[in-house]
Amino acid sequence: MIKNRLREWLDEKTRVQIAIDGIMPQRALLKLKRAQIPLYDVKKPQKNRILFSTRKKDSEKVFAIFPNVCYNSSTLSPYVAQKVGEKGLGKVVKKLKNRIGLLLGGLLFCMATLAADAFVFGIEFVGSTVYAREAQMALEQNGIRLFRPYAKGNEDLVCAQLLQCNGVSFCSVQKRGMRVRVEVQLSPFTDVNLAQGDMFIAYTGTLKALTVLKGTPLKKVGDSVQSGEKIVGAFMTGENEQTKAVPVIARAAVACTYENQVQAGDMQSAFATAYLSLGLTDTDTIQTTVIERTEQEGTFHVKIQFTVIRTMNF
Amino acid sequence: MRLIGELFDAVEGEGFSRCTWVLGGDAYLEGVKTVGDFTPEKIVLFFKKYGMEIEGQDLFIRKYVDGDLLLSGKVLSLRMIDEKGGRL
Repeated sequence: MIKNRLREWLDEKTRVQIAIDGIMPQRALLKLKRAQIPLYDVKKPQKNRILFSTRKKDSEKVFAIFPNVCYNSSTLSPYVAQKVGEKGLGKVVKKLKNRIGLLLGGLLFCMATLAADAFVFGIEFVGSTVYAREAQMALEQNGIRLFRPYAKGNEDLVCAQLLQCNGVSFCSVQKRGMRVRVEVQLSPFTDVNLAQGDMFIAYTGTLKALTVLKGTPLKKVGDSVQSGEKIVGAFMTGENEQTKAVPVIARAAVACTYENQVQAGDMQSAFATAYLSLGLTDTDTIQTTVIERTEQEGTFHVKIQFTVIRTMNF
Repeated sequence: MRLIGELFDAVEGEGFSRCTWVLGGDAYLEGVKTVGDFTPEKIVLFFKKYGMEIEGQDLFIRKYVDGDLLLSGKVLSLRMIDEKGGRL
């Protein structure tokens, strides 16, 4: 029922373009007028051809009045009607039917984009990145995580947490497309609390890298360092050999080796005991681990080669 | 449009047709019996008593249904003719 009505409505909105060929083709219009067929956009592009459009349901009448003799030789008519094309909504529907794959692909793409828009595919930090780690934690605590649906309405909670950080004067959390944009601005009048004094290293090993932005390096890359040794001095020497006290801003990487006898029930426990005694952080890396049983019952020989990275005001 | 009404009252039953022209635009003609000649430069229309020869540029029939005809294009001249196409 609905399908039939839709088809009728579509036919009503569709115009069929027809060409009538014959001598003095304008005379054919008289017959069409008598048949009360509305004609639209009547043009005469050639001497023996007239072009016009008519409603789809009326086009059948036109072909009945001026049949195409090529197909029906028993009927004689001085004029021949031919369908040239379609206009209006019918043409659009026909085109869409021919490109159904493209249409479905486009629809799928739009739906996928809309669905993906609700997720978080990236977090972008704008302004000061000093509190990037704190911002990341605040986002996670409030349910804003990568590859998860965006927890809308928690932006104020994240900002409230970040505004508690020292020196933060402005904070904004916005979702832009598939990314979350966190903007943190520090107040220009904030006193920066830099740790004072020299930089010491708490591990024994070889200095692999040393970056000093402020201060004076007291060791070179490749030097061996002892636990508790000073590696960067909190001073800078000027042109006139005058020294000036400055806060140290530096980063050092030290390659270390831990070797010890550990008493434990099994190898895993032995490694855990040794690892905990090292006091490593997230930035430190373990290169090799060797755990061997000793002749003594419940004692393991543990050897760990690792690199520690320590910073001061960096 | 009382004046037009009076005009049509006076010629009622005489077989005249009503034509409305928009200068520089389309023309609406009632009571068209046949289309005598039809090219983009010239259209000849026949009514009940008289005919009409319209000359112009890019002329075409926008709509033609049941004796009502909507003509589009640039009309340059208009001449009344008799039933046989001769000049009045």
